[in-house]
Amino acid sequence: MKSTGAQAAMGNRTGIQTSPELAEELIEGANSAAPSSEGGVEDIAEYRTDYIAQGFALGSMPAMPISEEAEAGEDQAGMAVLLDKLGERLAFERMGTRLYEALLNKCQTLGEQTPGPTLQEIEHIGSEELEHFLMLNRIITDIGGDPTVVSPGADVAGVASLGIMQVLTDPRSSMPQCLQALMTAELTDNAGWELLIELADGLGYNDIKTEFETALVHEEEHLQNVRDWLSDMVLDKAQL
Amino acid sequence: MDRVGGADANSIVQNYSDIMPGRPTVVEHRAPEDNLREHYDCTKAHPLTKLHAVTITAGENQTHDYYMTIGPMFADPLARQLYAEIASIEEQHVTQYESLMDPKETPLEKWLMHEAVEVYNYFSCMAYETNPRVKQIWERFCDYELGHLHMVMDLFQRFENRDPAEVLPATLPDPIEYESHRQFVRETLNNEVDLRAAGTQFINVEDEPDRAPLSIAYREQMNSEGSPSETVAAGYQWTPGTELVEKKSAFAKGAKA
Repeated sequence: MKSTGAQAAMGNRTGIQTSPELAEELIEGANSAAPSSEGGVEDIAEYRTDYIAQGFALGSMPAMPISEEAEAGEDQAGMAVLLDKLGERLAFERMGTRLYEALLNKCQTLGEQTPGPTLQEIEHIGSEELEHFLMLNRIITDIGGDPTVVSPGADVAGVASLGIMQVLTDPRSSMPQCLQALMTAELTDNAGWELLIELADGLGYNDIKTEFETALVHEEEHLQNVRDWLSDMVLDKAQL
Repeated sequence: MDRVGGADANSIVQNYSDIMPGRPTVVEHRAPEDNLREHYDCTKAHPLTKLHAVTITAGENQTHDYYMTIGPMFADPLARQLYAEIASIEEQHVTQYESLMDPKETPLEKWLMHEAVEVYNYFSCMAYETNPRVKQIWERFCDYELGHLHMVMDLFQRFENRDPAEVLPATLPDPIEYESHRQFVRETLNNEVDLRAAGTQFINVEDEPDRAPLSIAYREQMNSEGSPSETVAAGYQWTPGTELVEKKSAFAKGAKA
């Protein structure tokens, strides 16, 4: 579907230089007014401090499974952190699958662009996101957790990802704009898998550590691909 | 939530309610002529009937507000249209339930019932709340509303020369039960999913062409370009952990696990 060009002709009016005369009046008006209340930006921090100091947690974990050889405290704490971060990765990979479904939809509609990803390349990444989701689902179950739990980390990851989903599902966003948003997801995802490997290693989960290392190899490839496609498309547009 | 938001709806309903189709949204649209009900008689109705009518109207109004406010915040055109579609049904619900209230009630009488409804709702929340911090909030709000209720009772006596006991229940009814109503909902759905409306009455779906042709015409127009709720839920069946657990995705073929 081609743009009618109507919006392009109107142009971007957000900047102050859209109308220099009105801008002058705007600045004059702002300068003539005194602040409606005294103080400064530090007042906001002070206000938030009262709430932070109350110490409410963002989310909680359900009762932990107790393994036979668990030596109370330390093992339980480690397990709780591991399950929280596994839940976070699970939520992220689930969202990642939906993000790449949206990207596939966009690419199918707009057609493959050169430079840019092919449909097959998008399907490849999407399939691996789904595989990672299923793998995490299985591992959480195997170590005695509940993969349907929204762990505190999963909750935060969900909130943090909202903007990325907004960009991908916006019918107006271009392929490079979608890839820019996916860069945020892939960079976070890579760091997330690295941390999971450290955690699994520290807690002695050698089998799952190996699976995580394989996932990280996939994710490194995703990041590199997204970075390359984005860079190629942006430089191409700039005719460089 | 699963397909558009990437999350599991059961994280909200937490096993208390089924996540399954009810009466499809596409058949819920109806003509204004079929949207009002017979109101209760304020001189004869049980006080609990009045409390229920105000409570459900407030609930539906809040739900309508939610869909109208949140829908435009999505960039996804399907989510935007879905919320708009559901909002139109919620508007019908607000109108339907509001019509249950007797228009002969004076403004002061209605105000009195609203205050009683607020007491009743906070009292119900108090009764079922297990979190001590939140329970204290419900208690405080119940106290506030009791204060409002007594003020309006006073106004009712002074300006209408009527005894509030004429309209208020002698004691608070049992609290609203905040627990799973799975069996009741299933039975109601099973028995009533095929009901439609004609004028102020409920009828069976097979009688609709004769008795409510305007609603059929209205619905055909509303759905003439498709229905976002049908699109978003096409082939959907809830499964623990979202449908991706069942590999229901555009990427199902490529995924190895």
